[in-house]
Amino acid sequence: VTIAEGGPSLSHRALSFMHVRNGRLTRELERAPGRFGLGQLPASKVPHATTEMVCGFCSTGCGLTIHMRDGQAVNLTPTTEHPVNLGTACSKGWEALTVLDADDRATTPLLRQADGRQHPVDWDTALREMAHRFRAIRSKYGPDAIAFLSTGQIATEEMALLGALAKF
Amino acid sequence: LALDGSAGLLTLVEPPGIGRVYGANIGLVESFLKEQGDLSAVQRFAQFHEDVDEPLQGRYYFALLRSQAPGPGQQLAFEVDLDRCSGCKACVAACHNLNGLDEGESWRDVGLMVGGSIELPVLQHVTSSCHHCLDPACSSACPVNAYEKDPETGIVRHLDDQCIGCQYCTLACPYDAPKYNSEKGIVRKCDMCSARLAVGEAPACVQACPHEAIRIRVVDIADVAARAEEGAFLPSAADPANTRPTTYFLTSYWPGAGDARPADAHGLEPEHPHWPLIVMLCLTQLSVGGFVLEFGGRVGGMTEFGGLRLHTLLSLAFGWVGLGASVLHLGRPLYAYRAVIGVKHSWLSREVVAFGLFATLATVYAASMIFFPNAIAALPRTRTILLGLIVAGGLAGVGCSVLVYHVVRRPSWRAAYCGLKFAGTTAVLGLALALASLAIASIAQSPTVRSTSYSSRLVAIALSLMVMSSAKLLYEARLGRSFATSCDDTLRKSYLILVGPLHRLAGLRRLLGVVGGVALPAFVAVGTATAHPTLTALGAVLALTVAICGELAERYLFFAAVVKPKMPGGLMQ
Repeated sequence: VTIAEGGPSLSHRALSFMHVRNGRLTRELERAPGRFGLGQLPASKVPHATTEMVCGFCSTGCGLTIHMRDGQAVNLTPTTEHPVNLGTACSKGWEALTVLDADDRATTPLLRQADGRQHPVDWDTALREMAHRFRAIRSKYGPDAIAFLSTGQIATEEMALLGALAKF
Repeated sequence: LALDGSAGLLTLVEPPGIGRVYGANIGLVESFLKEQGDLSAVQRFAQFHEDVDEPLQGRYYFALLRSQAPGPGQQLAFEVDLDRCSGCKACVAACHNLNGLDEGESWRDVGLMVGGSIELPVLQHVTSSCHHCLDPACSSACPVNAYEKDPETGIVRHLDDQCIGCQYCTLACPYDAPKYNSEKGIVRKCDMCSARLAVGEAPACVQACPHEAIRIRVVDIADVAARAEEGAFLPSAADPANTRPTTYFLTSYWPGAGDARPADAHGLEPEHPHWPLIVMLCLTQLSVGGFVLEFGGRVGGMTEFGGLRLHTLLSLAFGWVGLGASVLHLGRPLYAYRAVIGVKHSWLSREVVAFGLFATLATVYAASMIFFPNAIAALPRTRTILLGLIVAGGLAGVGCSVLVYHVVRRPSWRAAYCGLKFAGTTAVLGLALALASLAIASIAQSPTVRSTSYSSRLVAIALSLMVMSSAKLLYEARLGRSFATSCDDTLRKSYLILVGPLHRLAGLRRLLGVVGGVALPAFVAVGTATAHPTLTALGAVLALTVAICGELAERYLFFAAVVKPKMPGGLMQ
């Protein structure tokens, strides 16, 4: 293909009409240096900052590096220097941000009201209601009436808190 | 000690990163003040490793990459150690995340093989992606030359901006490597993360595998070719001799072909029917059949009769509707014109060219019939030649259609099978159209003319239609039975899909075939002599409509009951 002076030749333009090697769709998949020791990342998701979290899916406690752009989490990679997972994650860990977009994500406490339906309430109301009802059960039936069924799906710290709550 | 601000303690308590910001000899209080005006702990944490360009994960994956570039006669390839693959799908998720793919999109899959013996039953997970074949079927199928095999690395790359979204590569690849993205209207696929490899980083799947099961290695092309020749690839996957895939699957359980079978081998899921293609195939064949009959009639001395013009115009109109429907199949129909450039190697391109020629000539012919009726009547020889060219183009187009499906190596789409089916549709629908055109034209004739020059033709066409339809229905039934007893697993599975999930549609197809191709034409043949001409014409139009529906149903079954060669899939959903 020859490029004539003053712009692409007719044959070049005709060729690019029929055969295109680059453009918008190709650029969408471009990779760029991600910095932060992350290697190459999708160019549109190169982070401005990163932060660390412990994966919340199970109690193994894998470290995840969250990629932030304009204060929003846009992607993640398993943390290389985290001693538990050494930079790897299971498929749930890799998808740990997906739950943030769930339509039915619990973002506020719900309390069943007189009409039989659950309505959003503030945390203070919810905690007071819970404490009030647990106390009522305990005072009526004694401390043995209360037990907690826990889960492996929470972090160790949350498990400790639950244990403390159950004891007192 | 803490209050004297000694450098030693400060170094001990400071979080990582502070050392870069402060001089070590600044007093503690002063440093806290400075810190207050600087970054918060969260912000500082966010800048952790900010200036590190080298990938930290490299310490684990560098050993999985070959440092030297492939030399002459060599190329890059994936190597999968099946003994290490646990089926965790981290590679699938990482391919999606690290390549910025759309929701639900990934270029790597994990399937499952089952087998072994009672002593050692084996469940073997298999991670697989594009095998960057020596003879990529995607590339030879592509009508727009959107595939390139890199001469140095051997990586098969897809040019996303060139793709028109015809998805023919997804039919041609026996390993499910090209993935259609319906949002974008194009196919995208694994490029072995070539930009990462170029700077010494590992592809996303290699980085992410917790068991280091996926490696990048340099392979000798001669070795790949020899292995493909002897069928050494992956038990239960498509025959490697066709495209010569380069991935090396290592396993200590199945050194040979073994008794491994895909976990989804017994699934009877119908395939996607591709409605635009169903309509396109049936109506282009109708159109070609119409012109073949007209040409045959002309050569046989039937030069002029009422209903001919209607027949020609309807043949043309159905042809254009069929071609229009095929454009609807494209993810990016605006770029459909590019489909001609793969004519050297792609049967899809050849089909486009042949039908393009057919439709253009047929349009010229029909237009001259309408606008210059006297001129064309005065040139009978030219008219016959033009019709001959139209028929040649149309038959070439139908032939290309047959080969489009034949070359993707799905047993029930062999040229012998789809050739007879497509030829049958051409004959049946062409005759049904001629019957309808003639019957409509006979309404306006006087009873005398009708009985002298129309009745015999109507009866002849109706009888031909009945014979052709019966022959086609019998052939389809016989083919189904031969699938049932075939020694080819995929043909038996096609049969089970036809009598299983698709049995109602198969029944409907037979009913429509009998009603449209036999019962209604019989009514027309008998009614020509006795019934009112409008009623006869109504019967003929109904026969055409029902026959078209019957052929559409046949083509639906053709697409839905096919069993494609693929990598082992997972357990059934």
